[in-house]
Amino acid sequence: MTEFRKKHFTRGNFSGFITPVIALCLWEIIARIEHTVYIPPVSQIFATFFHEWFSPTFHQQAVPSLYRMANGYVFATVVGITIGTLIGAYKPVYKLLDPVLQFLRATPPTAIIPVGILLIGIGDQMKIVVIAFGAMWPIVLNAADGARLVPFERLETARVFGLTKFETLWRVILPSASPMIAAGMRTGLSISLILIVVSEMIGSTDGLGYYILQAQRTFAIPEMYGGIVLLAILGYTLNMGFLQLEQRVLGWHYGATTRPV
Amino acid sequence: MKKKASPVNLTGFGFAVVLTIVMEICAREGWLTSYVPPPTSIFAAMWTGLLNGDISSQIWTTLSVYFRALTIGSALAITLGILMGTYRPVYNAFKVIIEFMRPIPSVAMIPLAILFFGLGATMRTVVITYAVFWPLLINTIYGVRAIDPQALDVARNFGITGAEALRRVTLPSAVASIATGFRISASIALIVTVTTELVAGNSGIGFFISQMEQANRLPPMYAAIILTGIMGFILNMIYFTLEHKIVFWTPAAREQTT
Amino acid sequence: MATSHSAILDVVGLQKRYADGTLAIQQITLDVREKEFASIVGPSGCGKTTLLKTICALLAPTKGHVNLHGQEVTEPPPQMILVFQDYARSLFPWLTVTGNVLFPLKRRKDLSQSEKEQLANEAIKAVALDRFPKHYPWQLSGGMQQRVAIARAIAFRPEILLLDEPFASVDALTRADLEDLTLNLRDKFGITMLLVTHDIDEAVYLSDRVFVLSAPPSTVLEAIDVPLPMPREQVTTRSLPQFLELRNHIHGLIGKKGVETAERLATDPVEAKLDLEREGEVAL
Repeated sequence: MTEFRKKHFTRGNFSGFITPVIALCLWEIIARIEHTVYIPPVSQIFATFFHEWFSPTFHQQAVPSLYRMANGYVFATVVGITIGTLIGAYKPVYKLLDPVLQFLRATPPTAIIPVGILLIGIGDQMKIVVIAFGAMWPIVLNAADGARLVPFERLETARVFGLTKFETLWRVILPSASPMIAAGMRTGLSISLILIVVSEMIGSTDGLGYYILQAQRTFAIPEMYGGIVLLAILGYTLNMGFLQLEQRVLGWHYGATTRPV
Repeated sequence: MKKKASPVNLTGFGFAVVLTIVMEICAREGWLTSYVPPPTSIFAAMWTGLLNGDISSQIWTTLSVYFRALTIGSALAITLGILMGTYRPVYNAFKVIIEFMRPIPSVAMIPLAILFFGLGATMRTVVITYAVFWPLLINTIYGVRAIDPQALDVARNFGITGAEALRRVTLPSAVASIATGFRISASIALIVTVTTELVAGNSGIGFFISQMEQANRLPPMYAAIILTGIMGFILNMIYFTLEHKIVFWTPAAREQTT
Repeated sequence: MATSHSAILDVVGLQKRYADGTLAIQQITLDVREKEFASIVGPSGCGKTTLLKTICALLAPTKGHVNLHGQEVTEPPPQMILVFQDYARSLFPWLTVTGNVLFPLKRRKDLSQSEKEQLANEAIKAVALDRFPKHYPWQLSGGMQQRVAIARAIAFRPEILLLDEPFASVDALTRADLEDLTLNLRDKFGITMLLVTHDIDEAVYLSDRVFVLSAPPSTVLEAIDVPLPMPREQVTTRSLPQFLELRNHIHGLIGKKGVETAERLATDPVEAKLDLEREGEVAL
């Protein structure tokens, strides 16, 4: 425990917290002096936050968002990795699909939402499909690049030892490409977050995005801030979690690339 | 005699053309849902929209907001980034705020911005600036801090220190990272611009898309979406080229760029 | 001392032209005998790597063929395993030493798990890495990494080990260690060795026979027996007058002369060979 304490509670880390604390205090003071609806006191925001999110609201608003995000993202990951690796492993396929993929990649995923609304409506499915579609591209492209850039020595080693095409794909190409795939998955995660919020703002009757926008429209300002704070916590947690997972699974990559060979 | 590979991917473009033709046939036959019109009608809408100003004026609005926000956001991010990268106390002062504000999707700030700025270009500029700020800030800090200490030692040897060293040694070295960060920020900026127009805009190509969707005018809607994609593609290419021209000494720039 | 065993690998009239039209290998005929240590030596760019890859069927020959035990080789056969020069790029960084060595064995249905582990452990011990079974390649030095690559090949128990300039990327002291290691492995496991190198001294030191290649488009200039006594030793063997004779002879072949010889052979192989024999350059 003392090791942990020594490592994390350094002076440098403490000083980092000074500015935000000061900023929050300033906010509180200004809010109480100015008395405008638009800038509620920090204390009120915190109070509303704890009140709202430790109540059924969480289940009604946050859980649907998480559910849709999870579904969309998992689909994007599984399909994206599969398609991407296959495209990257077979050069002619890559050449064939490259322009189409580049175009799809350049299109802002949020612009697809109106199409989604038209084709699928405004239910859960639309959001899941939109998220899956948007999050898939960085994963597909990164997986394709990762599969394409496997050192040929590894591929030839696989051939020399008589591995079948499938075995080569599964035991050599996929692990080789995994660092790039992970980077794509990280981008896909942020895109998923953006898409869930936007799709719920445009076409939804529940969810975090809907909640925040509704709060603004009905001038429930502390609730609006509370929603944004929750979103921030969500984004932060997801990112941290992903990073931890990545370091665990891809520890070998960090070791191999940070050391001089 | 050595064969030379064609620089243009004919197979790929050929495939794209074939795909479009197939879609055309399917749409005309009625095999696709009525919500996916034939590509020819989309291209026609694109052509008319661009020529008569419906679409082109919106694109112009989008781009002006985009560039304005990009400039402001970049200036702020690079300035703060250099300060944070060079001076430890500044870094310590702001790092916690950054860690917590960075993961907030800029789109979540839209309602907040509407509150303070109403609907309109200013609101959108603020949101886009917010989105542009973070990736560029991180990359700038990284670029400044990752400078080879040997380079600074060499400079000190020649009597170059302080602000001069900052200008002549640190900055050029950090430019590579800054250029990459700028490219990332710029592509995010376009997405956020279109998104804010979609969600709560009163002008711009995103607004146009949303309007067309509500009016059930599908060919112009698809045309606008495709044009947004093309815009993104062109802008990205421009940034890539600029990046490699400005930062010509990095290994990546020295190779043939796609 | 050349083994008196019969040839198990026959390379007959091999020609290899690259996709862009360059003729890398003009015409190569050689054979490798059972349990022999054979080396192929030649000037840079003479297609030595291409030759090895064609022998184990990673590349297809333009003309000619390769026979293993009398059967033509069309797909990479399990009896011939190739060890690459660039060990960093051929080892799998996500696997430990043991993981890498077990890798090719994993798919073998004819062995039980314990048999596989035993083969792997034997190989790791034979290359003296038994203290590092759970290390990752990037935690090891260059020489050690190459040993992992060799162990991976050995564990598979091939008949022939093809080595593509395996010691070119390590320092001189490590190279000496690895050279002796390869000799030991040949004795211990009875594996036939075919080694490609640009280092003439290394070729003479290690081999029973040395094939000397010309500059590209390459042919076999000479097949030289190396009757030096076994076991070889780094200091004593390399000081023998016979050693110096052999290596000087090869130097003579592939110095400037090697280039001229190749040109003459390219224009008219039969005439050129007769001329060269008359000039005392080549033994037919």
